[in-house]
Amino acid sequence: MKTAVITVASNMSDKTYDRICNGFAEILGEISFEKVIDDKIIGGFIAEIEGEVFDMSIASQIAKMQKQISN
Amino acid sequence: MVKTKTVTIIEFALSAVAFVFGLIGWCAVHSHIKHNGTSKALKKKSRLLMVLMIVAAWFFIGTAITAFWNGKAGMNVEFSMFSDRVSVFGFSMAKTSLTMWIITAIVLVLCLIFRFLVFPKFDPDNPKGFQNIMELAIEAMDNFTKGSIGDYSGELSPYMFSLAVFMVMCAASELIGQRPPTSDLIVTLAMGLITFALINIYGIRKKGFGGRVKSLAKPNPVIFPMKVISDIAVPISLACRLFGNMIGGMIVMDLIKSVLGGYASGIPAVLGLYFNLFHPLIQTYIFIILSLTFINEAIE
Amino acid sequence: MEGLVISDAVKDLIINIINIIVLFVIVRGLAYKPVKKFLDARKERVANELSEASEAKQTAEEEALKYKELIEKSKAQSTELINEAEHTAKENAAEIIETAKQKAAEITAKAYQNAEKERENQIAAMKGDITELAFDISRQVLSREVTDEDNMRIADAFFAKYQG
Repeated sequence: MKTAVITVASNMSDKTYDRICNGFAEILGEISFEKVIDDKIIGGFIAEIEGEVFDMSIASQIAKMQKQISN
Repeated sequence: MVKTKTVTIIEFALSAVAFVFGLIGWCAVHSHIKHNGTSKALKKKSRLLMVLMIVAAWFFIGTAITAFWNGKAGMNVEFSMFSDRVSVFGFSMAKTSLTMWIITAIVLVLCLIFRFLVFPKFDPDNPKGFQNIMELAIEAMDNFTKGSIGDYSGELSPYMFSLAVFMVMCAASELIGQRPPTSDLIVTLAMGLITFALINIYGIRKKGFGGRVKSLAKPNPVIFPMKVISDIAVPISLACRLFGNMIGGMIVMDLIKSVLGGYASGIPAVLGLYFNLFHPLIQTYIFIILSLTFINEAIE
Repeated sequence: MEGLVISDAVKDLIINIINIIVLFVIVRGLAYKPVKKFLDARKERVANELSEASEAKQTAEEEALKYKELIEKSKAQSTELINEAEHTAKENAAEIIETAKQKAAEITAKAYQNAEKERENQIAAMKGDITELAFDISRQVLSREVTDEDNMRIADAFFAKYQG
């Protein structure tokens, strides 16, 4: 069975969390989900599945913006 | 003048007393001077006493000589114009000529001594004493002749120098008591003749024989005989002048000696200083200066 | 008076003349001549010394003159040299001052440049700081304001991409 680590912020409701898990399950089949709460991502989620990382966190988007401005 | 014994004794006594008195007084004054220093009065006194002593002594000695050695005053003195003759090695010559040869011998000895003993010691740069005298004498003679003549002084000066030496030695011989050669007419005539020869030699050398004779006729031929006579008179006058002066001096000395007789102790010596020394030197000077003047005249 | 015999007198005269001549020769040869030679030698020596001395004096004077000239010349030379040196020194000084002035100007310019760069750097840094600050504030604000709705929207957008 595949494992997925989903990192979310504390403002994530369970509803939304389930929505995310269901979404992944629809695509990838049977997965066991692990939830990690990290407020540092501010919002959105980071999904790490079998080595692949899907980074939809707000923090990383802000970071991207910051990097762009800095250069 | 014949003296009696009493007079003689009185004379002795007087003179002795006077002498002793003077002696004592002089010693007293002298010791006084030593202690207290002199003053004009004291000096006069000492001098006076000294004179007294000398006079007394002289008188004493004179009396003694007259009394015991037959010194007589007022002797008859003889003078002869030409000196006595002596015979030398069987050859008769005047005594004065002999004296002259003796003088020459003495001068020879002296000159030899000078030349070989004194002269080598002469200091080239720093003359002293006798060397100084010799240098002065010769230099003086040189300058003298040069002053009078100027041209031939190189040859004439030695002759004048030797002439002066000769005349000085003659004066010395007179001091000894001999009749000096210069008081002999023959000798002075010899000197005069040599001078005459020199005059003519230089005159002829300078002007030639004709010139010399011509100079005698210089201003005016009328004077010629007078000039000749005066030229001849020159040597004769030189000779007679010297002879007269010397013999006069000799006569005076002899007279004094004979007058004083036994008392002629000391006084003739003092007078001799003039008559036998000073006077001849003056005559030397005159002779030489006249000779040079006449020679100069002939050269002019 | 004794009689005078002519022949005797003549004899004596001749003897006397000979005597005087002999005396003359003796005195001249032994006394006069040596002393005269002596005196003449000395006179000559003195004259020589005098002439030598005057010669020496002259030479000395000439040398002194030459020497003086030399001194004058060297004095003139040295004055010239000093003047030249002064001149050169003045020129050099002017040059040095010029160079110094230039250098000073360069340094000042560089200093300005550096100061400028510093300012720009500082401004850039400040900009950077401000940007960072802005982003930090944004982060803090966002972490306060972000709602679950926003989360849902993000999830929807993500899956929309995969499904579409």
